[in-house]
Amino acid sequence: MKQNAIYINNKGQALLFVVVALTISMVVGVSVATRTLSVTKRVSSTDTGAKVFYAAEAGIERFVDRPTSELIEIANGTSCGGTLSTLSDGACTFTLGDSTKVETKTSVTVQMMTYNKSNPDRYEVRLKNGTFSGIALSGYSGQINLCWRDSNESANTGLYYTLWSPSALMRESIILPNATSPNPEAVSFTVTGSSVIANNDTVTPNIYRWCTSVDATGTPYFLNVMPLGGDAVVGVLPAPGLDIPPQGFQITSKATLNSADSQQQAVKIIVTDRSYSHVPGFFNAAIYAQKDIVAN
Amino acid sequence: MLVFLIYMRKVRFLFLILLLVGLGFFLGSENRIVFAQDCSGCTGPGEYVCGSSWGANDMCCTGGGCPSYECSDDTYNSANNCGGTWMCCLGGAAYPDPCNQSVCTPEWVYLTLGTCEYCPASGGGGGDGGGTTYGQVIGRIWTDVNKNGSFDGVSELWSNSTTTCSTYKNDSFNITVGGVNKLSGWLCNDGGGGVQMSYYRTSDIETGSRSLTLTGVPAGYTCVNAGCSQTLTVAQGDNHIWWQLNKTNTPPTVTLSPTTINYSAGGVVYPVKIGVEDPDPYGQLRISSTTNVGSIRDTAAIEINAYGTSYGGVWPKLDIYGFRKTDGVRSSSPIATITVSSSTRATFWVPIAAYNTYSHFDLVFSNDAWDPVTKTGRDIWIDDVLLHSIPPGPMGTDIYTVQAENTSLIQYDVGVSYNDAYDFMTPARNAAMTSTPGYLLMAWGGSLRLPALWVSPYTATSGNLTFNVYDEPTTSTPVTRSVTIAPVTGTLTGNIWIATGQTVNCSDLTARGSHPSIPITVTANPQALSGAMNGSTGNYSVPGLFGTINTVSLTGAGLTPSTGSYTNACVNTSPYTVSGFTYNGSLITPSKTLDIGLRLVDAKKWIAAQGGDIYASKFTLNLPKACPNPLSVMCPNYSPQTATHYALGYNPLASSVFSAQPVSIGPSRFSESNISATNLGNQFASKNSLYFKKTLVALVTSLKDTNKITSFTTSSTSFPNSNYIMALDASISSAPSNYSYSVGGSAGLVFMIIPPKTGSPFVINNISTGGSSRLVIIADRDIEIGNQIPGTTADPKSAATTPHIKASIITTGNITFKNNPIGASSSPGTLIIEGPLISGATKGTDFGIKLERDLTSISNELRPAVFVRFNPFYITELNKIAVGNLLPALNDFFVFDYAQN
Repeated sequence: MKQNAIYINNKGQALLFVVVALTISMVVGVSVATRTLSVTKRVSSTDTGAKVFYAAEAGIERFVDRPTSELIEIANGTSCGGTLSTLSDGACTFTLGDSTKVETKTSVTVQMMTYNKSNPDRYEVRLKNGTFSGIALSGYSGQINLCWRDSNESANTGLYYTLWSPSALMRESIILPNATSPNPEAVSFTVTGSSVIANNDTVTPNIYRWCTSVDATGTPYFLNVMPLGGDAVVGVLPAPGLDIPPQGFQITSKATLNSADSQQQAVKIIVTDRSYSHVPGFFNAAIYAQKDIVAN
Repeated sequence: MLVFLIYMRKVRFLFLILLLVGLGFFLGSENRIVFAQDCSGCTGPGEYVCGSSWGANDMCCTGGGCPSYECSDDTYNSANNCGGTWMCCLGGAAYPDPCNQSVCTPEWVYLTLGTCEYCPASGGGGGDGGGTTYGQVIGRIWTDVNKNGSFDGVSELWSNSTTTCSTYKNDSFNITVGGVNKLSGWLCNDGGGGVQMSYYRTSDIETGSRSLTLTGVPAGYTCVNAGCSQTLTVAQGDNHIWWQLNKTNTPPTVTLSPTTINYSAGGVVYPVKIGVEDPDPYGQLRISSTTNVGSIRDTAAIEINAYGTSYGGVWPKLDIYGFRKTDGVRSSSPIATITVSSSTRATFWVPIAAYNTYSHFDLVFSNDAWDPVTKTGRDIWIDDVLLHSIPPGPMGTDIYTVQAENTSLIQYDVGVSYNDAYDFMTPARNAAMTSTPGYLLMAWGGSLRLPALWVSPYTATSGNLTFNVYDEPTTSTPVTRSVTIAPVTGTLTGNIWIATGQTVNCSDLTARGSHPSIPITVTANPQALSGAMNGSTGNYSVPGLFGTINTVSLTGAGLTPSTGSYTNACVNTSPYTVSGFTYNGSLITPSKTLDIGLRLVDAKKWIAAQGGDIYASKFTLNLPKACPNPLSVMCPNYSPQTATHYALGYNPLASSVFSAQPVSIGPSRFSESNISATNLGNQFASKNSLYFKKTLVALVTSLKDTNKITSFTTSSTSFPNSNYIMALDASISSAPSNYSYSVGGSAGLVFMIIPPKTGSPFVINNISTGGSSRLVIIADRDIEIGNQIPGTTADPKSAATTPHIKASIITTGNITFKNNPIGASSSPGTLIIEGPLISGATKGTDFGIKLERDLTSISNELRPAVFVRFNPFYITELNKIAVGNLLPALNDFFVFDYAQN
């Protein structure tokens, strides 16, 4: 009998179908519309952020290759040098873009930098195989811990350094990872003569793998460090109670969207470490050939 | 008239003075003694004896002639001269010496003037009145003790032993006439100045010509002049004969030291001590000298190092006398005098004008003085005596030094005569003579007799050096002594052998296996004597050699092996690496042996550096094998010297070697620092290529117009100040071959920019500067170096060896060291350039740094063709510029580390 009941009221059944269909359509339609608006809004936001990012990048590029003396002035807040920026509230600012459309404002500050890493305080550089970095040591006198880790864990990297006074070489050495214990590691390259065997880094074991102490007493002027056999991250740690001299500059470039629309805000901050300029490390060579030395 | 004069006391006194003077004259003449005689036999008023000659009382004073005396008293009737005063004494045989018996009185003497003439024929008589007359003979017997040729008083007189007025005694004297002794006694009289002197008197001797003979002459004495027999015409009264006895001369003892000289080289000086000892005092040494081989050395100046003490304000002096070579006569007066006018050691010298006249010298301390009260005096301490053979004297280099205290060379002749070789001062006689170490004390007047110096000839000749020694001026027979001189000749022997390998143990005689092929001739010079090597044993000998061998040389085809070439490995048992086959004579052993070890040369052209690291992707070179021994300046300085090669890097502190590829250059140790990392992989230093490709290229482009010059108008550049950049126009293809530069202001770096020019390398030769500033050449072009640099054979490691190029070169291209001259197959010497020397060439056809410079065979083995001497001034000054931004235009030259957080 219930089946019959159903049959008795057939017209309402179709209306319900229509209503449900319309409802579903509306829901789908609204959903699609909302989705479209959301995507549109997201695309607009990404474009603005990119502008700001590029503006922050531009800040770095504009400042990072300035001469050392100019960066010192900027760090002192006395000038913006030749950066084509305006000194404002201790920062050098400049704008990019079209003020009638989208304009970014970049604010760059420069600080003298002794350590670019903390806990423990240290100066750290990332170096390519066979490429020198220069560590300023003017005014320092004492031991230095020279630590490193391989950039590529499969490579066992050594370290070569030359320590210079203002007028002459003080000492040089090749430092090799401990090849016996507790984790035997042998370098892939060939070493002759006496080398220094580094110790396992027990002070900063989670940061570096190997450490050695370099005697920088006296009147050191700079330390050239070069990884051998692979890329490496090298840390320079002063002896307890001592500070190594400034190593360069920390450049902070902050870019914002220069817009009155509070809905249109974007901020990008890039921090860069830039060492003092120094002569390419291969100048400590009597003979340097990027290719070969041929005598036959 | 006469009586009047006599009785006027004053006049008489005057007359007596005149009389005494006249008497003195008379005594000084041949008629030394005049006694009043009886001339009663003469006619006329005069009756007193005078003589026609000395000792002849054959005349009488008559008339107004010569003075004569008589006594007017009958008792005191004998006139005698007593102490210079005429007296009348008791006469007769009872009073043979009336003066000494106080039987005289001056009251009865009166003067008679008369004429000395022969008695008239009617004269004569006297005596005993029986027709036979007698006279007596008186006189003196003396010896010329001091050999001065004249009688000097009582010190030279003889008498019997009981007579006091003589020095020499002899009781054996007799004076005989006809075999009968007539000597009656010895008396004393005034010989002048109140000095009593002995004389003899005979008994009566019949007048007339008589032969008197002196007998009983003491042993060792002989009569001289008239001899021991004299004929005298005895007259009545006193007659006079003097007898002179001289001591029989005893020849001196002459001892030469040395007595033989065996010389083995020419021009060598040998001292010869002429030791003369004469048992007779006085006299004058004469020492003549002659040689038939070599020569007696000339003396052009005498220099002494001495000090002295003055006395009475007078410094001591040394008179220099020389013994003449030809006749031995010692100069009669000083030929020079040195006054030792310093109380501290000082140098004094005098020239000897007649430099080739004398054989040897006496330095005579002629003004010695000593005050026994204050015990002070005049003395000399002599350190040494320098005999110069080359005029003008002390500045000459040809000096022979005699240590004054060396008694084996000198004699110190003292005593009554400084040239009689009779009395010597010796350390044994007085230790004070040599008690001051290194000095001879001359505290006594005397002669310091120096040795004669003989110079050996340059030829092997035997002979003698002969001295004739005379101890008296009149001695005609010398004592002759000779030094026998003979050359010593020898034979040079040795063995020539070939070492196997380059590591040679020169002292291992068993390793001397093989020998070079013949012919090889060994020649000793300057004798130019030769010997041939035995081909089977390698032995050789060169006999008949005399003198110093300056060099020994090898010649012959055997020195040229079929392949390669020989070089020296050993001399005797020591390493020897001097090039060439000529060996200094000093290498010959005392036994005249010269073994020569050779080895084959391992010649490879090579490059080395000092004081800095060496980087390359790959080393395509070989170091010569065998640093033969430590004598080579290029042998690495480490011990034990296990490596048998030279090194790439020198300096124990900074000479590390790095390479991307494995290194196989010969030795396992590459440098003195013994620090190397090789086989570092292709990524090693690859990042640097970007610097050369991009940064440096851009930098050169940016600087190519900075202070640009289009040509070198001169071969030098004066940079106004350091940090000055000068760009060259690209059309310039070379620097002047002898380029120099200077930099004004404080020391620093200046820069020369060389822009690119396709296919045109930039040529660099000598670059010099006098200051401490330096030039950095920054190039975007291939560089060619040294086609006009001969190089050097000096030690390239020595700071005293100036680099040929005082500049640092960094280029994006290749660097080639060319031969000198262009096209030559070899360059003579090492080219020295300062580093850093940097080639950034990276393109596929690039080679980097290439060594075309070739020193060939032996030289290649001994030293590198190119030597890079790192100068830290470049890197330290560049860093100062980088940190201080001292040269903004050069900012891109520098690098910095960059990390973005």
